[in-house]
Amino acid sequence: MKSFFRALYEVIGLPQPSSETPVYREVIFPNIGLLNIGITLALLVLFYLVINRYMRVATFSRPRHWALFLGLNALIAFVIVIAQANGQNVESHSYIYWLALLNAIYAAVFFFILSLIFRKLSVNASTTPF
Amino acid sequence: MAKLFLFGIGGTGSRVVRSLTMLLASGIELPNCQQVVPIIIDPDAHNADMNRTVQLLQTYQQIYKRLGPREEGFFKTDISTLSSISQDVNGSVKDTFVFDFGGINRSFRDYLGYNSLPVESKALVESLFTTDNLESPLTIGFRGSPNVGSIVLNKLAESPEMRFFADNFQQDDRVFFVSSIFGGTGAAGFPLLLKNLKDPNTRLSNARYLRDALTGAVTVMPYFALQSEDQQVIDSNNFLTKTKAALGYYENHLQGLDALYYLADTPDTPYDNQPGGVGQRNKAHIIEMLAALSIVDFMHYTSLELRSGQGPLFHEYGLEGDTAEVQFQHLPTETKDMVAQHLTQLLYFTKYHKQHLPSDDAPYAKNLNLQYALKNEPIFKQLDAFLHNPDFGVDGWFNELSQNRRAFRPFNLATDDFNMMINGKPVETGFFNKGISRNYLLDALNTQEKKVPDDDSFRKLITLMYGVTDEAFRDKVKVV
Repeated sequence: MKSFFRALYEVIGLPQPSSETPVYREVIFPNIGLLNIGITLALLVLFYLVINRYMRVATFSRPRHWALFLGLNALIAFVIVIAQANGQNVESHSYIYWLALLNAIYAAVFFFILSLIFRKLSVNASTTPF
Repeated sequence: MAKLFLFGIGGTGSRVVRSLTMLLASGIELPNCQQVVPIIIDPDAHNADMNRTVQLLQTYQQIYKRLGPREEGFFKTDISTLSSISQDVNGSVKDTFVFDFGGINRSFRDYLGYNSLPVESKALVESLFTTDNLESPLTIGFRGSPNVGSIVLNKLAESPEMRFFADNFQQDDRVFFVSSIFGGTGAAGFPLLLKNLKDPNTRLSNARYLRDALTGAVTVMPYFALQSEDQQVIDSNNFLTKTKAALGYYENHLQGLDALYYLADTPDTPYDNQPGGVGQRNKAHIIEMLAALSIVDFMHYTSLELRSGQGPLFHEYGLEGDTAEVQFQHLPTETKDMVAQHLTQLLYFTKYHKQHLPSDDAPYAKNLNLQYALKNEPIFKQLDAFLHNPDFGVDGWFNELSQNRRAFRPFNLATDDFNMMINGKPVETGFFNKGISRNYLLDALNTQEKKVPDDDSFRKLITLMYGVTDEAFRDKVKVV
């Protein structure tokens, strides 16, 4: 698992400053990865199943509503990286923001890919985003 | 396959057929028959009421052809032209809902060959017909003169249409006549047609089937008045006199009827006095809708019920109260049960089709490829015309009924709020219950779309709309 997240997040290079690499590899990467997947799944469940199936809301299913959730997911992913970095007291560095951006991109990609599965479980958003 | 041959005679006949078409479009059941064959008999080829009824019927027919037979739903009943029920080997019957008078573009005098008659016959003709009768052009009908109509319409029995009708008449088929008693064409045409069909010595084929066929009729007595103008040939002050005279004739000369329905109303605001032609375009009236319901009522009777007595069953109709604005609560329970839900469903469908369908960006719409179909597929355009055409569409029919005197106004047509559309019966709403909202309908459409297996997007749309409006009525309106 750790190696998976390490591979995922080190595509932008090794963590900086290098003295913090163990913390990133052992704690931050797995934390933000798992949180990213968990929050993405939670938002997908909220959008496709809760709102657009069980609550029978039919007017919150358009691509713009989906994009709102996607953007929210990316924003949360960005924020949790900064929160994790602060929580682990890693040395301040611009790398944190690059990592946050990467995490946000991953969140958006996960959300998009998993949407193609979740939409089939929905009633009112079964054709969203397309 | 049992058929109902429906003769709509004269202007009232056309208007009643229009109302029946609307009722059938709403999904009202017409039992004991699989097909309705309307035959409109009106020599006035330019009559606006007739022409818009024909347009409506043609549109309905196209829609039904695409939909086919179904257990229930909008446009459930097959309406076909006479020529389409069988192969016409001679090609003498046109594929139309209107009896072809072959352009009788001459005066009644010429029609009789008056100038070549012997003196004695001329004297007889002059005693039976006024100069105005003789000079009137037959192209606009008989202008309220049944004595003229009875001569011209006698030719009907020898026409190719009547022969074709008789050739294709089968054992369980039924016949129904719609006419007014106070005009020219209807008052003359109904007894003449009945006599010819039931005549034991008729030269028409299937004479036994015709004679034994279950036969009903609705005779509409005066329900409107006309503006009095000196130069006009039709004077509505004579309507009651003419009605009495015709009833006197009917009393002893109507043989072979199983059910006869009488309808009348007290005239209020007079119509424009238009004896015929494009100017005769009267607003739909509740009496015409009730006359159309008499056809539905007749079809509910079994053969045993209709033939159980000694003579025909006579029916009259009364509202629950004498009110200028008839709403659902003013209708007798039987009528209300028959029409309230179906008409409400048709209104919901019409409103949704106009307000929301073109902009629906929802799964059901995408799966039906609705946006493309609405713009490009002819059948969707036919549906649009049926619902919204300003001349003959459902919108106009509801509007006309609500504007006429007496008004049939069960709906608030001005509102876009589905919860407020039934007058006197708003849908209950609350914090957690928004009633029949756009969201409610959209969710129901999306949900039902997953359950309806149909590859034809048009048929699926009609099925969905019927299902959703049915659910909305049962869940939210419940009773009216």
